[in-house]
Amino acid sequence: MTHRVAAIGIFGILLLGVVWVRPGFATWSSAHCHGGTHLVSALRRLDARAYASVAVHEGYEWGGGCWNNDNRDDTPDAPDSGGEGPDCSGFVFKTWELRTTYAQAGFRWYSDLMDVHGPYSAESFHDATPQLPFHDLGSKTRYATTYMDAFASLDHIGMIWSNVIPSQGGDYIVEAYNDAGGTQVNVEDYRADSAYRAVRRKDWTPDCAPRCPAGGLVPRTVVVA
Amino acid sequence: MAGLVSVLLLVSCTSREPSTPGPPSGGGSSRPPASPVPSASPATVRPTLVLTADLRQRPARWRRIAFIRYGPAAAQLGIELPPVHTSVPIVPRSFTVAPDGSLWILDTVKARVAHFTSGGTYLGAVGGLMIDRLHPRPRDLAFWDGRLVVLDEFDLAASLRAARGGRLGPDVALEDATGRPIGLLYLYPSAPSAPSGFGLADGYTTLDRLGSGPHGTGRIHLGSRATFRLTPGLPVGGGVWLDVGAYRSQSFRVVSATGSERIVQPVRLRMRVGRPHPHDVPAIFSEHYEAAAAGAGFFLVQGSPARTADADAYGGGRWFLRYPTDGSPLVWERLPNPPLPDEFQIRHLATDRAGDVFFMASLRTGVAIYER
Repeated sequence: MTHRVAAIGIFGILLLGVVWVRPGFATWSSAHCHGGTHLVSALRRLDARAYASVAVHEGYEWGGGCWNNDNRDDTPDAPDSGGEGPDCSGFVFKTWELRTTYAQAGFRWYSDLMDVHGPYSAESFHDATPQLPFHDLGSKTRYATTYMDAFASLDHIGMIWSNVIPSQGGDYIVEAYNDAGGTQVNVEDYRADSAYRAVRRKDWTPDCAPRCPAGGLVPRTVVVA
Repeated sequence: MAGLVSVLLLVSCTSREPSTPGPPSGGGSSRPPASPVPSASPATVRPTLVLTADLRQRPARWRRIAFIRYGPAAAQLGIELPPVHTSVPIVPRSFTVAPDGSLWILDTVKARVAHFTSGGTYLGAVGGLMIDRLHPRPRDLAFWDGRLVVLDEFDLAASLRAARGGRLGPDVALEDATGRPIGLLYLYPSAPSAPSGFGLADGYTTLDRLGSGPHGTGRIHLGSRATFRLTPGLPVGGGVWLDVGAYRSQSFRVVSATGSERIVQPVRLRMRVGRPHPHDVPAIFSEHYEAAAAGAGFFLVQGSPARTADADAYGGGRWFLRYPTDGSPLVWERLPNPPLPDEFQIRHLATDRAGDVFFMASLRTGVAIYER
């Protein structure tokens, strides 16, 4: 009897220990993603690109939206399990500082370590309606687009990284792509693919702000090669 | 096939056929010998060649020579559909035709290069590919002097791996003459018995230097190091080199060069739709220089109406361009649209030793290889 009680006790301690040390519901994101957020009044393209650059080389997670800045995969071989990285639409949501309330205008900054995806799917961006804080540009020419605009299909969205044209045409696109590649800059052909539309966030602040020259209300874009 | 070929060739200001900067290739039945690189010389600029991408046109019929299903078996290819692990379908990314005519397909999902007969019978595979965020990932492949070479990329930077005894060797980073890493968009076969092949460079790869560095076609020497040197194009035979550049939304430029002369051919693309009456619409094109052989360059041209309303009404399309340098016919014909998004596939065209051209299409149930 004494042995049985001791055995049950030891088993219980081991069981509780295992549960406490490694809860079954723990994920990488629940353990690491505790970043903050705050409202902001404006967003420049160059700041959005700097924000996106932190996510480059990090992971991809469907429905995810949290990453750090160590340029490595913190959840290798563990896709779809609360791992590191955004998905394509969540990446655009955070980079464009959209609000978590659907169709709400304005800007909200999110820490890269805040696990938030936002209310928009790739299809939402592709089929942008007038009340949304982004719109279909109506044209995909290089005159119409600039960096940090996006190309969206029904399944995917990526943002123009640079106005530089790659050797064979196409664009440098920053995108949350897949589990194997993670979030990265790729050469893509979305501009010449009829499945994709050019989408722009509304209400960008010019890159020259706050020291725009006289007449600075005219939007001006600083092109970064 | 021939009946459906629509060569919409309009040469403004002239009706001349593309002339031959070098000796004719004799019908294109043999591979080009290694060509001496021509020196810079004055260029002759031809009148603009206008190609019409007509969305009313039906795709040309190519002859299907192989169909390989997706599935878990070794003889089948891998596919990963969105959205859980990827935002775009992961399909076989590239393919090449070996000197013996067999097919090698870059089977990304299964981390291998799968080997098939020209009719699609499974022969085996070369393993050792890495498909994760920590390692260079395969992008393209080609045969150099009978040796399979795989182009890997990592954060846009290129590296090369050569097959050894059924496995791929270590990655060798590609550098330019200054020792800086560069990106490579395509890998091309070597000339017969030549140890060095060719590639299409995309300049330096660090994000703050995009747009600088070597751009265009060049020769790659692969040894303990991999070095890239720009050439006037790809050798197409007869001592002719063919290059492409000056990309714009609706135009590009083909340059053929020999030791004595350079001929610049401006090409303008226009998109034509049918409703309510035939008319042109603003469009965006991208041109992919995917192969060169038998006196010609082979391009996949993708186009979309620039305006959303036009794209919704008419869709877009893909076209095959064979640009000759030997007086043989220019071919411009529509290719079928993919039944599922195939952005991940970077190569659609390849040529064999005889200069025959092949087209790889990712279908819903498998991969089909067509021969023109």
